[in-house]
Amino acid sequence: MKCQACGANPATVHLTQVMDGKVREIHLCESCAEQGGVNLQNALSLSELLLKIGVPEEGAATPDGAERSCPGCHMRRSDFKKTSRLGCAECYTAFSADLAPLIASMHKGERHVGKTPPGGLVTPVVMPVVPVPSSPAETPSIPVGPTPEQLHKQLAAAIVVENYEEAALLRDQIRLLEEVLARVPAKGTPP
Amino acid sequence: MTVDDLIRRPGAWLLTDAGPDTEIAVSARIRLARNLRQAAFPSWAGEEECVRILNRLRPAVESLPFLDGAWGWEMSELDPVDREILCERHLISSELASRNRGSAVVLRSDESLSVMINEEDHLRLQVMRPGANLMGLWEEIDAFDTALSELVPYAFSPELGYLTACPSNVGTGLRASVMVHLPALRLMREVEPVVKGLNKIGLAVRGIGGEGTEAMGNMFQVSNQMTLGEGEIDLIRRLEAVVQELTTHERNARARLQEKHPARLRDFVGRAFGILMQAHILNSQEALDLLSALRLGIEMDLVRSMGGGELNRLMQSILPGHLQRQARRDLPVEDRDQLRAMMVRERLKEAGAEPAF
Ligand SMILES: [Zn+2]
Ligand SMILES: [Zn+2]
Repeated sequence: MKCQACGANPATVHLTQVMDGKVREIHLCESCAEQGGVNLQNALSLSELLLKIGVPEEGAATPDGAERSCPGCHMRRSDFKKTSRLGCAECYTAFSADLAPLIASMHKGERHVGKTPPGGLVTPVVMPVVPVPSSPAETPSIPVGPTPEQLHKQLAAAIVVENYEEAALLRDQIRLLEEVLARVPAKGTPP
Repeated sequence: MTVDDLIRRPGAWLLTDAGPDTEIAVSARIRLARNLRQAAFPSWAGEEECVRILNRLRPAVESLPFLDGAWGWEMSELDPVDREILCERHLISSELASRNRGSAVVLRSDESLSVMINEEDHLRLQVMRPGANLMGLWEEIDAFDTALSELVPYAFSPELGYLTACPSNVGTGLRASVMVHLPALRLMREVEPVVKGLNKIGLAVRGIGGEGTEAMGNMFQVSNQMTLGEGEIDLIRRLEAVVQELTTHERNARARLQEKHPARLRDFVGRAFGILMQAHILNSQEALDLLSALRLGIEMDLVRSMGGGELNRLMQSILPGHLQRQARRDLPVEDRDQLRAMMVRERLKEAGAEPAF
């Protein structure tokens, strides 16, 4: 078995952690283990260790051989490895291949359970335009996201704090959403 | 408003005489990590961008009625002692203290609700109170967070929840912690197994001010390690149950000490009292450890004439930042240790503290 950190040396240090009934394993070579300051006394070191020494090398490069980087903030994969902090929210998509095993090893589950911001969702900032249905049988669903009222509220707030950039974005979003809603028959209305 | 206005009163986590419920579970805190949807996270953003983000976030935060005439400081306005005082009052983290322009703290005047702007994440909302009523804290911070989310677009994904600079906080972005005072368990050498047991169920136990399980003044912080895959309410219920159990453990250890090892208990409290009354040089670690023993003595009616609230005030006033500000100058370490010993001796004498055995 190869070391999961450098991918080169044979793994001689095998760490297992049982947390919440879930077994997590990591296999390292001696030098990577040392570099990560493996402390066998500390039962919690595994997640921290993973952050410190970085994550497996798969998905390091784009098909043309360039180093993967985030289109949102231009953080490169190597920057993330160095600091173990992401550059922006979009990094979660850009480095998803690296992050998935890391997140799985650190947390209880792999999907969010709990609070959802009531005002504004979600990752895609511009609301997708729902195509006009080709047949009346296909009722388009309203995209998950804020209602126009919520957006108007956010817009008002953005104007109050003189955030015109955000206000412009919100205005576009409202226009789009209203357009979409106009095409979607209201509940209970016969087609 | 300056940081000096804070130091004359006890911090929100240490309200005076908060009652017997706070004897073992001293205080509770919840922090929520939140970020803007379309901006680089603070560590990656660079100073100018952080300033821009701060100028956008601070008015939104301050406009909320929750903060009721908020106070706030940009880190660049504060000198090192100010920053240390805010750390000692649990209002900012050492990470925020190390930042300058573009990072700030905003707080309600009673200090129980505060927001760090541009720490590791754009926003860290915090609520803290004496005792261990985490559910009450959750309700408060949840409402605050919801109100803020209507002014500021959060980075959120349905799969991964609130997106944070460090993947270890992704999901709920929630860190709940309770500070517990466990002198009897420490004395009976039973802290280690408790820590191991809690680690197994995904909770971290850290000593306050110390490394790993080394604790200053026998204070430990119990907090959740994971933020993805468990809802806020479930986690808080679980943590509350654990703290309840820990409190029972500590009470049992105290009862066992009194019953089976009364001499050891008196020796522990009596020695601490003797040193505190007679020492002329005390560093913070030693002072806090001894005051922890004194606190145990007070709570077990082995020491007379000093209330828990008075002790809390004393504990806070001898921390390095508070101590230096009261002395009105930067003091070299040796002078601090002498001043600290003098303050402790005088306060104990004033209070007429004496062993009741
Ligand atoms: Zn290796
Ligand atoms: Zn990015």
